[in-house]
Amino acid sequence: MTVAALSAYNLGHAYGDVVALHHLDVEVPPGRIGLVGANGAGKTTLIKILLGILTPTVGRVEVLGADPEKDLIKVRSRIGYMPEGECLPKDQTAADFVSYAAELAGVPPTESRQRASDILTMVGLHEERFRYLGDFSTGMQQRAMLAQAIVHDPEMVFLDEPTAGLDPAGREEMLDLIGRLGGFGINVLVSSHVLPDIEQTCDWVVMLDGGRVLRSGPISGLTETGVVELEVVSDIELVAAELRRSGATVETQGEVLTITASPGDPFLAARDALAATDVSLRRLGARSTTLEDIFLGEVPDDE
Amino acid sequence: MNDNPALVADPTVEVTGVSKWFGQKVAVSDVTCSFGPGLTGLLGPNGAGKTTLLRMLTGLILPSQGEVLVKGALPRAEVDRFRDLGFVPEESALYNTLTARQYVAYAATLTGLDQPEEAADIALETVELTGDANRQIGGFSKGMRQRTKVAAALVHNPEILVLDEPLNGTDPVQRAHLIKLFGKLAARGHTLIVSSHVLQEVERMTDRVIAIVDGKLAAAGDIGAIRRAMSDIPYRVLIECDKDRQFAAALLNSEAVYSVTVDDSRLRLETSDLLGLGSLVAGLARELDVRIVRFAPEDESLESVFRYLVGGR
Amino acid sequence: MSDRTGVVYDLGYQPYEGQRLGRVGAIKAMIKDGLRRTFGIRRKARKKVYPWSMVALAFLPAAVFVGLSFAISSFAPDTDSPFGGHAEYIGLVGTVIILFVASAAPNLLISDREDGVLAVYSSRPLTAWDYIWGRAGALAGVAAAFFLLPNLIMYVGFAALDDRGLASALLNNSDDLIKVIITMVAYVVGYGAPALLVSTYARRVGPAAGTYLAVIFISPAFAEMFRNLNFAGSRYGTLISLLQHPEVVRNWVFERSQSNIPMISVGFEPWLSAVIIGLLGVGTVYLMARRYRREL
Repeated sequence: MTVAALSAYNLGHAYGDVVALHHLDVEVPPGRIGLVGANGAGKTTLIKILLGILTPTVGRVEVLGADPEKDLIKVRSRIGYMPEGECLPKDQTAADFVSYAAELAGVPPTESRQRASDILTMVGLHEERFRYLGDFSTGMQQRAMLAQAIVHDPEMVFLDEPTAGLDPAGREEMLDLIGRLGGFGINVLVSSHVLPDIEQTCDWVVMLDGGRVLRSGPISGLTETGVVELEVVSDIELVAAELRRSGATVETQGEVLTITASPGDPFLAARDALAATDVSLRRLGARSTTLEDIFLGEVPDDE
Repeated sequence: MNDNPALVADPTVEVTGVSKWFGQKVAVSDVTCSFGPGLTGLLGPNGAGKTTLLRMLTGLILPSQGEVLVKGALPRAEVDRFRDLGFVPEESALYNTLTARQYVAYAATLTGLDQPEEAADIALETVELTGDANRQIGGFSKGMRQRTKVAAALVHNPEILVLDEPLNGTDPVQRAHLIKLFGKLAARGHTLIVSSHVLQEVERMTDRVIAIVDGKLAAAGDIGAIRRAMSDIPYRVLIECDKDRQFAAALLNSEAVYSVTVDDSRLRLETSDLLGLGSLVAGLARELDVRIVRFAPEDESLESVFRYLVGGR
Repeated sequence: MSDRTGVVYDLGYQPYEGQRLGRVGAIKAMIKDGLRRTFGIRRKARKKVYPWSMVALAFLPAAVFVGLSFAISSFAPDTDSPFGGHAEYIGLVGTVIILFVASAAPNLLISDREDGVLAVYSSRPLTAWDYIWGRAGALAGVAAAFFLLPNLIMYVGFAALDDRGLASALLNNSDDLIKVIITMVAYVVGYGAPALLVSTYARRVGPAAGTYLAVIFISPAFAEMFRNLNFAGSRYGTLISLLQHPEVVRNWVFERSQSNIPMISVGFEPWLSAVIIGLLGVGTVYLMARRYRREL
């Protein structure tokens, strides 16, 4: 039986009168987890509780099976953290600081330099690593922050808005690095506002709203709809008619057609209808809602 | 219909032969483009001249060469021009000790509005900050600060709005509302110029983009048309199906397909003739009794287009 | 017939399977980092200027005295030099310590807080207390070294010159050494604690150092003022002189006169200074704990 990456049991937290988290009960399996929610939904509070910075007012959490309230050192010895914003001292070089970060986790000084060097290469900091962190660009800073988060080979890493401030190329590289962490055997919790990033890198998502869990589940499960969608270059009505003839329930909007029900396999029906009508295909696939659709659908809209 | 996609038929902002250098560094090099009613995305890697261009559009700095005209006049020449322009800068440009309402009203007075407080209230309502209007900006989250800046830029109902990373730090709900707001303004005929790094969002907001790479105009116009103009780069298409190798072999036989990579029931094709491929794939699948569950062009997104523009594939 | 073989090594991510030293390793690393930060080691050159100037200021006179004593047999430090014996020298060192911790304490604490580095500490196997002791310990250690080492140089140097021979001189004067150590604790805590306290709340290094120096150096003037006032309870005002409490302890331990010290002249006993210094230390640690447990 695998230990959950994190679990919360009746977790609640209030700052004085303001309740940040209400009755969170959630169990998340190991892997790559996305944490999404509006500002003020409780994401930062939750992360601080997981790190042991805050003690929950009610209930408890477990990170990799250990409770930070009772076993703070045990929890902290297994995790890494890349916070939102800055976490780098301006007057040290990247190489120096990342090796210090390793030593803080107990890596002996004789090994920390080598380990830091390997990790810096992996995140793509080469000669720059001997420059002072205060002189780094945003992209370089994000890489250095990621480096300090994994240099001590943690079992789980919390990443808070890892792509903030990066240009498209930088975002792509960061997301690629994050995606690879799973392959290194490191569990990942990504907290982000940018839902496409979560879709790209995570397998499981926890959605928070107003301090409560809206959804917690595998992304693929949440986004499947069972509906097949196809887009053609022209003559959509021909295809629609052909599909209806075969008994399928079909809707069209512009050049996009959706098969909501079909007596047989909808993909085969689509293929045959296209072949029969000789219509040129642009796109075909099972329709999946985006995380954004789900999120906005669940959150009451006062528009 | 004009020949140059970088120019629009009824421009409100015109950039003509504009260059800007700072000592030896050439930040912007000979850019000619224009913006009109509707929303145009302005894209570019960090440090590639995009921010400098934005500053020239708003009159904060002057071009070293060339001309920027806002509604036919230089941005700083006449006091009136301030009224036509609203700017949401990327950096924090707020006074932490003021409340949102005070700040937006102040912005309103700067543009000479008669009733700054009323205008401020309307602007704050548009960005959904009415509830927090009387709180100090110093206590705001990033998303709230962004919305305050947008309100200040909107308060005088300017015809032209320049927004530098306006969605930075906003959560999905706020983002969706702001995107909707921008869409409404664009539909009403305002000229919006939005610069953003999150390309998926730019795609949702507009079809027209201007891309600046290494200080030069790298691409302009409709996103799909830009991709089609990159005719030397073949399209990439993903097909998920059964009988993967058999289908791959059959597809390779056709003229339309350059190359196929097979990876566990996923086929990745390169083709220069997307249309041709789309015509033959269903028929071929039926002939071989192949079940296709996905057929998707992989690099038509703005992200892919941008990647090609910046160099590399 | 030779076999051709080849091998490719996997240079990708390697998990770290080696030793982990736990909290002790972390605290050692923090102290080393604290020392480097204080002396500008592995940092930009200009960060080294101030701390090393202070080192020169603290050590040079001691080295010079011992040197002069060797060179000029009639040179007797107690009477020939302005810094006399240990007690007077401590006066100089005390000033150097103030100047030194004014900049060292902010460097140790403020950057970590304002640059967000506490987030890194919060994902390492150490607690807020470990952090506090690590930083305070580094500061105290360096201040103690400033204090002790020049005095040790003098102690050993003069013992070597003593007619009775090095070993017996060392033994005979050993109670001097004990006095030095007691006084050291008073100076280190008395001047170090307020510096740490200011740096726990200040946001920038310059203002922190400035505030600390202003408070320390101006406080005697206020104490003097209270001495001269005559309303009920005004004598308690003489206790605010942070500069002078360690001096009172020094004078007490070395049995020197306490002239010029307002709190003594209004009738307080010297041991009260020791108590006040103790309270300063405890209070500082308590307030640091309150502040840092929120963020770490």
